[in-house]
Amino acid sequence: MSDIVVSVSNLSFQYEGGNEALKDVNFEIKRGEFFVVMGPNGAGKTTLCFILGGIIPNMYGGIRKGKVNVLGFDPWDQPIYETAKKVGILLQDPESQLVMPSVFAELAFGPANLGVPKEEIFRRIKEAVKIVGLEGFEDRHPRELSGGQKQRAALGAVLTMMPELLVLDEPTSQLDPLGTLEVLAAVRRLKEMGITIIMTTHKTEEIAYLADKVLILNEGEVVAYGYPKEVLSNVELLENVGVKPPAVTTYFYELKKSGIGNIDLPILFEDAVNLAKKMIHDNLLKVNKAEFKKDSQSKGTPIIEIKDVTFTYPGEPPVTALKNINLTIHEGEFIGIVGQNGSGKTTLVKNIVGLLKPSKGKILFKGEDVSKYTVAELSKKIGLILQNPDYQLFTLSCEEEVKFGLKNIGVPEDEIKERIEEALRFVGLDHLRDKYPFALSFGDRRKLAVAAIVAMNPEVIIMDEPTTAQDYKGRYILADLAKKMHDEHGRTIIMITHDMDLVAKYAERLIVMWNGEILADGPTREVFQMHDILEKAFLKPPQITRFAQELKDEGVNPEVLTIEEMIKVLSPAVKEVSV
Amino acid sequence: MRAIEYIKADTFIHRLNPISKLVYVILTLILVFLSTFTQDIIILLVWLITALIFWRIAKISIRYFMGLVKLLMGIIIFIIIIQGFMYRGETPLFTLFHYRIPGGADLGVFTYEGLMFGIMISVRVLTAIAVLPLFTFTTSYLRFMETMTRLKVPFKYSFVFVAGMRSVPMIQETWQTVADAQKLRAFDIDKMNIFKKAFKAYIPIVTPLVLLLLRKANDMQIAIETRAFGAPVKRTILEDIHFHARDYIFLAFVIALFAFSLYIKFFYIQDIWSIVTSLLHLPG
Repeated sequence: MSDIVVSVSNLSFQYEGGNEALKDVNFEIKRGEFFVVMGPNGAGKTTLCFILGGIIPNMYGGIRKGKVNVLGFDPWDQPIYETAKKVGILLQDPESQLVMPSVFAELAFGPANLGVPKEEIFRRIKEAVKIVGLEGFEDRHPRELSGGQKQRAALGAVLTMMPELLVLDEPTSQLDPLGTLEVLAAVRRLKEMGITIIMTTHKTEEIAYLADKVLILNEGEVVAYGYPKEVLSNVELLENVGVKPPAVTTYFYELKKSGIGNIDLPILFEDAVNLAKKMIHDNLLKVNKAEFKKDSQSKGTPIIEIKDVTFTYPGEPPVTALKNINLTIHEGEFIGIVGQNGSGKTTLVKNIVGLLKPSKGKILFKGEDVSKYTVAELSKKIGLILQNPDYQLFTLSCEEEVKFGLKNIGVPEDEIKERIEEALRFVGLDHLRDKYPFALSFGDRRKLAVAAIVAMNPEVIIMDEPTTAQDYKGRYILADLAKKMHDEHGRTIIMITHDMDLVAKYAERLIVMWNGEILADGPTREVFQMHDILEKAFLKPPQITRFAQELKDEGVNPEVLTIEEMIKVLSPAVKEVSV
Repeated sequence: MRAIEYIKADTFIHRLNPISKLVYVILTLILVFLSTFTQDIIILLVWLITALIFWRIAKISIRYFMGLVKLLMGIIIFIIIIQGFMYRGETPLFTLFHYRIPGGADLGVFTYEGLMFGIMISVRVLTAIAVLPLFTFTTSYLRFMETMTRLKVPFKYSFVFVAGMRSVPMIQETWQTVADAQKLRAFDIDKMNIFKKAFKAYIPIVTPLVLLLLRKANDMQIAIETRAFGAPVKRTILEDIHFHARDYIFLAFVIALFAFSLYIKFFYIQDIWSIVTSLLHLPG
C-alpha cells in the first residue's frame, strides 16, 4: 500500500450557482498523519471535508477542477457508500448525527448497512466503545447523553466502519470545555493507534499538541502549509487571516518584535514556560512588580436579586437544576457566568427572564418580584439574546425583524421607526435594512438578533454564549456590542460563556457554576486564581493566565488576564517595552 | 410523556419474538373490531384482564395503565352519557325530558341498555389500548426494524419510521426553544385567543422551526449516507429473531384463546350473558 493516503493537486471548487469555495489547493497526507486544517469561517474547510468524503458531488453539486486521490480512488467518481468504506466523517452538531435509539444501534448502523457479519460487528462495537470511552453506555438512548458523550457516540459510529481516513469537521465547536476534553482524548487515542486523521478546528492551543501538519485556508486558498511549529508560530500571518495563534506564542512574538533578539517561538505551553524560565535566569527577561488595579469596589444599587432560588425540572426522576441560589447583581455591572453544560447557567437565566418560575425562592427586579410580570412585560426590562439567531428570525427584512418586538410591547408607530433606525445603526446593519435576514452571514444574523433585543431598550442584557460558531475574527463582535451598551449606555450585562479568553477580556465579575450551585463569585482576576474550584468545575483559566501562574515562583504576578498585561509583568530586560 | 417507548428489561414478554407479539396485538384488535354487542363485553373483559396479566409479566407498571384510564376518562364518560341517551333501550334509569326522534330513541331518557352499551365501547377502547404497550414497551426499535426486514419490508421504510420516532423529542425541543425565543420578544402565544392563534400567531414559530428542521434533516442525511445507508448489499441482521419454544407456547395460548372467544361469541354468548346478568341481579 502506498504511503500517501490523500493527495490533492490544483483543486478548485465552485458550488452550483455559488461562490468559488476552493482555489488551487495542493497538499498531501501521509499514512498515520494528523493533519489539521484551520481558517476563518467561509475559508472552505467544510467544502474540503465534503469533497474528501464524497458528499460533494453526491449531495451538493458544483464544478471541480484538479485532482483528488484518496486511498487510490477519487471520491468524485463513486457513490458515497463506496467512499464510506474507507473514509469516515464526523460533523459539528452531535445531535443530528445520531439517528438510532441507542448507542449500540448507532454503532451497528454503518457496518450493518455494509453487510458486515454479525460477530464482526459486535467485535468492532466492543473495540469502538473502548476507544471513545463509552463502555457501559451501549444501551443508552441519545437523549440520556451529554453533548460530549453524544459526539463520542457519533465518533464511535464512524469507527465501526473501520475507516482508513477519518475526517473530523470541527468536532468540538459545539461542546462545552469538558466535552471538548473528552472528544480530544478519544481523538488522541486514535492518533496513537496510527489512524490517518484530517481535522478542521479553531482551537489552536489544544491542537498544537496533536498536529503533524497544519494547513491554513483563507478564502479558499492555501496561505500556509507545513509543520505546526512553522505555521503556528507565524503569528502575523495567522492574525491576518483570522486564526488565533496560541497565547504564549503571541506573547513571545510580541517580545521578539520589541527587539529581544532571535528567539525560536514556542507553540506548546510547557516549552513556553521553560523558555521563559531560562530567559529570566539568563537575565533576558525582567520581572516587574506590577500590581493590577482592583476593579472598582463601589457597587451600584442592586438591580436583580436572586433569593434562595431552587428550580426543579419535573419528570421521572425530577432534576434539580438550581440549588438554593443567592445572587445580587448591581446596576452597571459586567458579569460573566461560566460552567459546563448542565451546571445550571441557562436555567438560572431562564428563571430571571421569566421563561421558568422558581420552584422555591424569589427573584427581584429593582426590588419587585418578577413573578408578577409576564415574560413579555419582563422583556422590556431584561433582554436575553440567545445563542442561535436562527431560532427567532422569521420575517422578510431586517427592519421587520426589529419591528416585531417593538409592536409586541406596544411602542407607538412614530417611535418604532426611530427605534429601528437606532438599533440597526447600533449593530452596524443599517445598510442592510431591506435584506432578507436568512441571506445574511451568520455573524450578521447574530447582530440582527442583538438589534431586535436592544431596540426594546432593556436595562439588563443577557447574552448566551456570544462566541459560539464564530471564528477568531468574528468572535468578539457581540461582546464588543455588549461592551458598548455597558460603557455608553450604562446597561448591566450578563454573559454566559465557555470562552475563558472572552471572560478575561470583558467581565469584571465572574461567577462559576457547577451542578446547580454557585462555586465562586468575585472579581474575574481573583476567581481565576481559585485553582481548586476551577478544577472541580473542569475549567481552566486562559492560557496566558496559566502561563503567569506557572512562573509565580520566579516572582511573576499570577493575576495576569491578557497578553498585554503579561508583557507588563515580564518584559525584556534590555529594552523597556512600551505598552 | 414517553408514551410508547421501549423500556429495557429481561422478561418473558421481552424475549418473545416481535412477530409473536405482533400476532397477539393483531388478534386482539380483530376481536375488538368484531365485538359490537353489549354481551361481547364478557369476552372483551377476558382479553383486557389477559393483557393486564401480560403487563405484570412484562413488568410494566400498572400505574401506567391507570394513567391511561385517567387520560381517557373524559372520553369514556362522554361515550357513556351519549350512549345512555341515544341507545334505544327499554329500561329507563332516569328521565330528563321526552323527545323521541322518529324511529329512534327518546333523547331525554337515560336507559340501562344504553349505559351497558357505553361501558362495552369503553372496554373496547381500553382493550385495544392495553395491548399496544405490550409491543412497544418490550420491543426495541432495533428488534422492530430487523423484524420488519425479516418480513421483507424494505429497510428504508422501517428506518424512516424509527428515525421519525427518534426525531419527535428533537422537534418538540426545537419548537420549545423557538417559542421561548419569540416570548423573549414579547410574543406570547399562550395569551392569544384561538382564532388569532390559528391564523397568524404560529408564523413566527413555524417559520424558524421549518428552516431549522430542514437544516437538521440535511445534516442527518449526510450522517447516514456517509455510513453507507442504502448500499446495495444485504443488510446484516443483528438480533436473534428466531422462533423459540416460548414463542410456540405463547402463540398456542393466544390462538387458542382467540378461537375459543370466537366460538363463544357466535354460539353461546347469549346463554352466558343471561347467567351473568341473573347472578348479578341485573335486568335482562
